[in-house]
Amino acid sequence: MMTCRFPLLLATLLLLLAAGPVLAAERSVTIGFGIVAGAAPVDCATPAAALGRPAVAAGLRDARVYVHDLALIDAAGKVWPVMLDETLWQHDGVALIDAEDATGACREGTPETNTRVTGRVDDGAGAGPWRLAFTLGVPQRLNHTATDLAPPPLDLAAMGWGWQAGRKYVKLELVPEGGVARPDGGRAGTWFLHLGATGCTGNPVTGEIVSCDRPNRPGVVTAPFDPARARVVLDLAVLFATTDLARDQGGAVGCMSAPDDADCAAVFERLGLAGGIATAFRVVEK
Amino acid sequence: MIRRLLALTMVWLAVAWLAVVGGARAEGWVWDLPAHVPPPRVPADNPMTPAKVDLGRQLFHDPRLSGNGRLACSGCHLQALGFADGRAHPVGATGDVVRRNAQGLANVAWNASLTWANPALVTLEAQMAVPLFGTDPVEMGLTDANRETVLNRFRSDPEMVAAFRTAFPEMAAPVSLTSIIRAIAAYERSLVSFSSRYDRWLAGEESFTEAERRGHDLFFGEKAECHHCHGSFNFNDQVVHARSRVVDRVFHNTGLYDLDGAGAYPATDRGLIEMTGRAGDMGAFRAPSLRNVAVTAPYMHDGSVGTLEEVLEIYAAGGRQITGGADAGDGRRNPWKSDLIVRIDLDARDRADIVAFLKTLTDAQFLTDPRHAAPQD
Repeated sequence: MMTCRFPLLLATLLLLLAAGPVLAAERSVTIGFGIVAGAAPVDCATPAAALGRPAVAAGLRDARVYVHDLALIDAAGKVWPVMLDETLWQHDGVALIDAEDATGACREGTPETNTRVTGRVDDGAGAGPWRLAFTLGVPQRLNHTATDLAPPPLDLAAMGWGWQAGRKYVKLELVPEGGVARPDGGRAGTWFLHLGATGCTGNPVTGEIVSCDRPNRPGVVTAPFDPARARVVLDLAVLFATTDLARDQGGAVGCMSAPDDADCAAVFERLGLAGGIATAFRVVEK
Repeated sequence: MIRRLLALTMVWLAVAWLAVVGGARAEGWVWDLPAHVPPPRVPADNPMTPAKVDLGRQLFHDPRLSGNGRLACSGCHLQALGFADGRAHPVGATGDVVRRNAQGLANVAWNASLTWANPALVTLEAQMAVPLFGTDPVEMGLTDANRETVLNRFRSDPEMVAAFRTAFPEMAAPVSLTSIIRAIAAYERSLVSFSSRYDRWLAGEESFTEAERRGHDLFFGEKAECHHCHGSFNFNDQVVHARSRVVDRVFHNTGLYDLDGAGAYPATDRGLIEMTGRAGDMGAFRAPSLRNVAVTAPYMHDGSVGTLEEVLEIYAAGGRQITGGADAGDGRRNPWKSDLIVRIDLDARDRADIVAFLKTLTDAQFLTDPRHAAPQD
């Protein structure tokens, strides 16, 4: 996992974030995000893209991702935390990237979309280019809260994950043409990727979640880029490169993060949850 | 700085006021319990009040709470059935079939975890996100899109608005999912069942028949050993109460299935292993409370056993052998089976006597108590 590969980086990051959002001289920064399939954009209106192996035309039903602890890393390796603005899409260092607009098969989504993160960074970060570091998901301190009590963007019921008393970090749902064949002979319409913390245990004495065996929060560090000219994308062609989206291997249809769901191994690897790097994220020109 | 201090002071004053008011209101609730039963743990932010319990009772029985307005909580939790539903698998508002059997709700206030095999859900408030918002399967079918529609059904009902105001006087906008969840949780905590024949026998107010007495002794004895998993005042082994410091949350494989000779349960529901990924958690489920068990059939996590007599036969055999069909296999040999489930020598009379004892746990008053019932129009 990334947290093991970059312990110093993350420790520095946490230290800096803990110091609070007081910057001597600061400036605004906007980081563009996107969800693509190879070179093509992915949204509810775009015709189904060929994805997976063997490739199958798959339309979109949902595409939302939480990210947190964003930071720029300069050429010298110095980490410059991005203090996120408080908006409907951002709260307490967490941002929601939302590529669905509640049209077409994305009928259970929200009409608004969001493909950028805004914040402030210390002026000392220089002129770039930088690498972008971020962590996928919702941090432990905010994850196990009730959606009906949380401020946006943590208030969405669709991103709530009731049975782990937490949230879905990634909600990526695809509708392959012809459906998804199940091992029991049945057929489902949607291939689900729900990434979230699993193996969570509550403390009945306090009524709180105390720990999760698998936090499932991979760290991502991108190639150098200039936010003015480039953005970071989650590429579904890479994410599902070895996944057969037309054939489920058991458990939940697709991968809902169950530790022994055979459909999770390949996508977890590309999200950086198997000891390697998160190859599903990359930098592209705007 | 001064403004900040002022703001902080005001926040503290508000908190102190709420604590005082909340405390006073909490005192308005009386737990009517036998001396040997400690009061349950109640979350600090959701104290019990009669008004809140009454609102929760109305909401629990109101189908307007589901996305399409067709299903109330009480659709799958019927008072006359100990708040179970009599079916192997409940059906959600949109027709989805729920994979696990609906559980009775008697004395849920003392449960250390709330569902069949999930150590993450330890409060009724947190558990409620599953039936309300769950999508796999859909139960009540609330979504971001219909949330306001559902709330507006209550906001346009003056009597309900008044009930919300009375139950949540501290809230500026009392009709919310937060108040709905808190009210229903308070109502569920009020579902207290300690008036069965067994309880009256414990209190010395009634006597057992010979069969019931023999069944009791077998149940609590070292022969049948039912008490290992069903031995608490609540007849389960996951109990938390107001003064609990440490709680064991245990799950057991009872040898219902073994599909592959290596312990596999049906892929539709493999129990705790789905949460933990640990091989030893295959087929492990929580021991349910046996309060009102005679009316909560069918039994087991998947409702696959129809009668108490069949349940006793399975335990007497040390598990269940299924000789044909998709689930064929010898659960008695399941390698992950609890060490407490072994073949025991229970003859027909023993089994009948244990069933007779289990029937003394039926609390007729609880099953008909108007305080728990749907509001009358």
